[in-house]
Amino acid sequence: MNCVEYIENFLSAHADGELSPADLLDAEQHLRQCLGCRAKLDDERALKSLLREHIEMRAMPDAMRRQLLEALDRAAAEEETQSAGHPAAHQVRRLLGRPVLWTGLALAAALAIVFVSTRRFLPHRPPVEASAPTRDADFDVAIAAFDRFQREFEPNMPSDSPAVLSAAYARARMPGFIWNFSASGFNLAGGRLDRLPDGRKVTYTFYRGARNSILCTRFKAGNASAPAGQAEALNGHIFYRYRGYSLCYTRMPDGGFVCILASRLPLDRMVKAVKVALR
Amino acid sequence: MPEKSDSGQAKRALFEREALPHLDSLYATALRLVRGPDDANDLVQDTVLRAYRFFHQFTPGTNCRAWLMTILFNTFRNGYRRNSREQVAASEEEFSARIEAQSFARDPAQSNPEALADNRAVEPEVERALDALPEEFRSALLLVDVQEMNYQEVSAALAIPVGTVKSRISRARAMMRKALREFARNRRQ
Ligand SMILES: [Zn+2]
Repeated sequence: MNCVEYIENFLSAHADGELSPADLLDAEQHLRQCLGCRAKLDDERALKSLLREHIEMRAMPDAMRRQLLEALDRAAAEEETQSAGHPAAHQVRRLLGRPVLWTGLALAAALAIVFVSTRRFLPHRPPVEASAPTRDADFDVAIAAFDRFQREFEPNMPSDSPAVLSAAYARARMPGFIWNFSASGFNLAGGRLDRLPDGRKVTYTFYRGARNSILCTRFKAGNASAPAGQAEALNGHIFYRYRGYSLCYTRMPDGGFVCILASRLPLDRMVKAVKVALR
Repeated sequence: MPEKSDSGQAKRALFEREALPHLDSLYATALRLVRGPDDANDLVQDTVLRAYRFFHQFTPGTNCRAWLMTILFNTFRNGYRRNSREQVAASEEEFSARIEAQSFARDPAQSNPEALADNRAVEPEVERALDALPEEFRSALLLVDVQEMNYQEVSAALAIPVGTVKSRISRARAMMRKALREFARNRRQ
C-alpha cells in the first residue's frame, strides 16, 4: 500500500473503525513505516472529536417536547380505539351498533369509557429519563465492552498521553480522571467516547498489560447506592467478582457518573493495582 | 371499568423507554437539516409519530437511535427537503465559493489572535463549516461523527450504499478541513 492509496481508500474508514480485519492489518502495516500517514490518521481523529465536541446536542425545548408527547398520546389513543382487541372499543362499538340503546345515557357511558381510558393513558409524566439501571445492567455494559475491546481496541479520542485524553474527555463533559496503572504493568492504550444503546454517553479507557488488560467504563447511572454483593471495599472503590471478571465500582463525586474497572485479573491483583494507582 | 389493553400499554411503555430518550438527538439533527426550530419541531414530531406507528418493526436490543434516524431522514427526503436550510451549498464548487466569502465577512470583534488558544472560539466556526456543506455530505458526517453511527446504519438511514457512505465521509472531512483552515487563516490576519 502506498500513501495515496491509504489516504484515498483507508484513512476515513480507519479513523471510523470501519476497516475489515484484513484491511486493518494492511493499514497498520503501512502506518508502521509511514509517519506522514500516521499524522494524517491523528488529524482525522482530531477532526472527528472536534465535530463531536462542538456540534451542540441542543435539547428540544420543553414546550415542543410537551406538544410532541400530547400528539403521541392522541396517536396512541386513536390506535387503541381502532384496535379490535380493546375492550373499551368493543363496548363503544356495541353500544353504537344498537340503536335501541342509543340514548343519551348510553352515549355518555360510551364517551366516559373512552375518556377514562384515554385519561389513564395520559399519566402526568416527569421528563423522560433512562430507566433506572440495575447492578447487573451496569456491570454487563462494562464486561461486554471489555470482551469487545480485548479483541480489538481502536481509540476514537485523542490519546497521545493521559493529559491529552483527559482534556478531550473534559471537553466532551465526561469525567477526565485517567488511572495510572503503569506501576502494575498496564499502560494507557487510548480512549473512546461512544453511546450506550439508550443514548447515554459512555467513555472507555483501555489499559494494556503483557498478558491482561483493564477497561475503565464511565457513564451516568441512575441508582445512587453501590450495588450489593461486594467482595471488598477500599475508600469508596468497591470490588466484585462478577461472571468471571474482577470489577471495581466507583461512584464519581460529580455528575452522577459511575466508573467501572473490568478485568480478567484475579480479584486480589485488581485490588492491588487500584491500591497502587491511588497512592 | 374496562382496562386499557395490555398490548397497547406495553407498546407505549416500551416506546417511552427505547425511543423517547433520543428526542434531543433527533431534534439536534433536524435543526441541521431544516430551516429553523419550527420546521425541526415538525420534522421530529412526524418522525416520532411514524416511529410509534411502525414500532412493531423495531427489533429490541438493536440501536434504536439509528432506527429513529432512518425514519427521520426518510421523512426529511419525503417532504421536508424543500424546507431545507437556504444557506446550503448544492455542490462542492459552491461550497468553496461560500466558504471563501464567509471567511472574509467575519465579525472583526472575533478576530483576535488569543482566541486561537481558546477551543471555544472554534465552536461557531465548526458549526458554520458544517452548515455550509452540501446536504448529502453534512448528513453523512452528522450521523457518523456526531451521532456515532456505523457505516451500515448510515447506509440504511440515507438509503445509499455503504461504499457511498465511505466516500461521502472522506470528502466531507476534506471539505470541513478546507473550511476550518480558511476560517483560521482569516482569523489570524
Ligand atoms: Zn503513507
